[in-house]
Amino acid sequence: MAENNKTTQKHPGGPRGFGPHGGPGLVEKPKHFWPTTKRLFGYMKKRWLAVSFVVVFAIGSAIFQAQTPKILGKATTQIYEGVLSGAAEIKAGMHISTLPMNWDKIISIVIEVIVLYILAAILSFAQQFIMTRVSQHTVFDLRRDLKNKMRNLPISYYDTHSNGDIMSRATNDMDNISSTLQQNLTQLITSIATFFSILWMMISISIPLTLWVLIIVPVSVVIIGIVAPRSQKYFSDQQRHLGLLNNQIEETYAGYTIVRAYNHEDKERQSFAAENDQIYKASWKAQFISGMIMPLMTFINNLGYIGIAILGGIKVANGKIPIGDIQAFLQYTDQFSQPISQITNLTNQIQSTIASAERIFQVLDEPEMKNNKQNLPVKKEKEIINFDHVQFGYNPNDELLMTDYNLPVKKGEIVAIVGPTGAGKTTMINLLERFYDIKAGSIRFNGQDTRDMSREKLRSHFAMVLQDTWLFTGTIYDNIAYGKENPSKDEVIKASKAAHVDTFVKQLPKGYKTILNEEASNISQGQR
Amino acid sequence: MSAIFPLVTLIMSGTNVGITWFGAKLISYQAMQTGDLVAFMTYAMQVMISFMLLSMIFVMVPRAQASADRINELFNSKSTIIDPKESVKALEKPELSFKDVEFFYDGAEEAALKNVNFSAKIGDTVAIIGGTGSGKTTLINLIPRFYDIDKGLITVNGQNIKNYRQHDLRDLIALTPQKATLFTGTVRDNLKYGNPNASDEELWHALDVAQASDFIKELDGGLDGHVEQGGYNFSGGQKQRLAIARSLAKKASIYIFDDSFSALDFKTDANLRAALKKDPEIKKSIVVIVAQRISTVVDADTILVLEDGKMTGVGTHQELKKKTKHITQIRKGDQ
Repeated sequence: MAENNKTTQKHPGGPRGFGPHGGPGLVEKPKHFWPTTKRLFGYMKKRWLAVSFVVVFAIGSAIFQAQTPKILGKATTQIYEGVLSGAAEIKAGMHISTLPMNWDKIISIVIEVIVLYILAAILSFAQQFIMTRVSQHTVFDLRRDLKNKMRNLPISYYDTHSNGDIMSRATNDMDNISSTLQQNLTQLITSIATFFSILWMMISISIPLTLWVLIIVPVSVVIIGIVAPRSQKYFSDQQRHLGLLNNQIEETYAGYTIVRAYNHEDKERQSFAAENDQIYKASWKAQFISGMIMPLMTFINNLGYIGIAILGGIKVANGKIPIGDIQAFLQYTDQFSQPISQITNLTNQIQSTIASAERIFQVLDEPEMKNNKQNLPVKKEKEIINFDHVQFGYNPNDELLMTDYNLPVKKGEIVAIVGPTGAGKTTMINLLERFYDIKAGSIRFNGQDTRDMSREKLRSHFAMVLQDTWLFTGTIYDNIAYGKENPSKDEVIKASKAAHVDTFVKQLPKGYKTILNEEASNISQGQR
Repeated sequence: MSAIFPLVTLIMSGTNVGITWFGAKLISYQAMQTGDLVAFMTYAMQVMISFMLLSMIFVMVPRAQASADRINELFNSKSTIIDPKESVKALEKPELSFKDVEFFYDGAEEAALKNVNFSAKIGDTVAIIGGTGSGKTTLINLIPRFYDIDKGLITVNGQNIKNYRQHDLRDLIALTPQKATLFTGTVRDNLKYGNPNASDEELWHALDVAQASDFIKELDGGLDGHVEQGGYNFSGGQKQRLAIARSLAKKASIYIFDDSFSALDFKTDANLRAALKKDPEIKKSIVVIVAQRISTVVDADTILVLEDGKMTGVGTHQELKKKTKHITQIRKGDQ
């Protein structure tokens, strides 16, 4: 019932698929499951005490919770016995208004049950509380490590990895880990503990009845095993088409001027409709098939119920089992499939989390920019910047781009670098700012080799305008003030006057407070 | 969130205890049977589950509502550019004119364009120059009616552009925007974008004029070569030339190039302009060029100089050279 709902809801895997490669309909499998798991747990090592409390609490809570139906069943047994003895008294010809019951015993049973319930709740609450803190701390550490790492990665890493990829590691994967640590991990422990304690309680009541339950449960597992993969196929179809549709939308809007100017609105609408129709068909089938799981499971559960009622009824009639135990057993049957379906769900979740962790660790394991200090003596020279016999190539295996390059620059000089595309104009600037390190020779700034300075210090001396104009989301004022930590308002306006932007900025509806969007598409190319 | 699960379990358990207690009372008064007690517990469980599902719906509904509001906002926004019921018939001859055109962007205090006047007839080349942010692209965008003007009149082929249906108006215009955008597909798909009936011959001719035939010939698959999303497998200059070829393949009365030569080197730029000039199709139409380089526009029939949205000069290169100092400034910067 409740557990069956969970199965159907968890299957879609969330609409995360953007772009053609995001097919999250299928679970992503990690390559090295155990080593990565170990390393992820390594992050929790600092908080091992808290984690062990969580484990103990989770197990305790599950055991307490599993005890209660049987104890509550005893109350029913007491009631039943009262009824029986009352019936005997009536038969003997006595007149009674109320049936005789052992109220003291019933009260003590009820109190016992309440205490157990409250204990279980407190333990479960404490466990959730501690785990939330542990998981958030862990992810905080992980995020901090990733951020630090990203600062120390060479520019070439960003050249070879797309922004989307890096972003998805820092956000999606991080999120995935955080939610798994917080919820799924405790769920896993609780489910396993619940499974075994319920099984133990059932066996303690009656072995034949337990066997009957153990026959029914595999049947439902088999049914899920048949139906789920079918719906999974349609779910992944749905994700794939959703990705294609997103691509189409993205492209249409990126080239919207062209679409409109060339009268292609109708055609785009048609291809949108076609793709939309595909999604509709796939999702309809996926939802329908996965929707079948719940009624099927309910049906099988009911079969189990009937079996227990019949078998149990006979046993009670024969006086082999007290009636309260049957009541408890029915409740156990209800609860028994819950941990099983939860564990199957969790294995998928955990696998995808470990895959996420693996992707983050991959970044953490990337070689960092070396701080290869040369410890060259600081030369006294007039040149502010001096390229001295520089050798450089982007790829270690490729031919060198610069073999023996010299360029001395003195104070106050303006240097223009001219050349056809691919001649290395941008490369020179990249070397100067140490986005890449040179192979041989030396670049000196005020006589000091740039490799002997920290990158931050070196870069604070330069202001650069890139080929691709790049502005950040925020107000125009913020963007102009980007390079300096605390510029005054006058300084900003002075800089904008120097770059001839003052007039057009004042034309904009909100002046300097105009908010630029991510690609700064609300102002023209030249204005950027 | 994490507090909810223990809480729900506690409530469910409490219910069971209550049922047992009150059930026992009822049974002792002989108002209920023992079997009913067991059945009652099962019912209670089902009711609780239904309530849980219901509460989940209460969580979901406001979320869905917020999303629905955002979508409705889009549905309810009205298009401000309205098509006439009947499209007027375009006169055969290409023509383009701006009369006292004034235009404000939504919410802006200052006009983005003010008092723009010019006209062009068949075979003319109109060049628009001006500093960054002077309103060149804005002016271009008014011709295919991406925005409606606030004052004045724009005519294309002798008719007010508001009297055409947008579809018919845009059939008369071939626009190459500032940013060269290509679509996923083949080179052929992209070139035929404006003219689905174009023959391969016509496409190759367009490529020749756009100085793009060389690299398309070398491309794997030629015209059937693959274009990735956004045209990322071509360089900036190549994309621009393909975008130019695309607009040339569309047979139009007015060809608009919005700074479309910016990524081309001087030699390619010159070759392209020479080829454009010679093309018989182009000779029968109007060309509007937005440019930064004076060299691109010296031989234009009309040069429009824009400054902060105002027209500060109009005429041929020779006429302007005498009149304006602005153009000489740009010239100096050019050399």
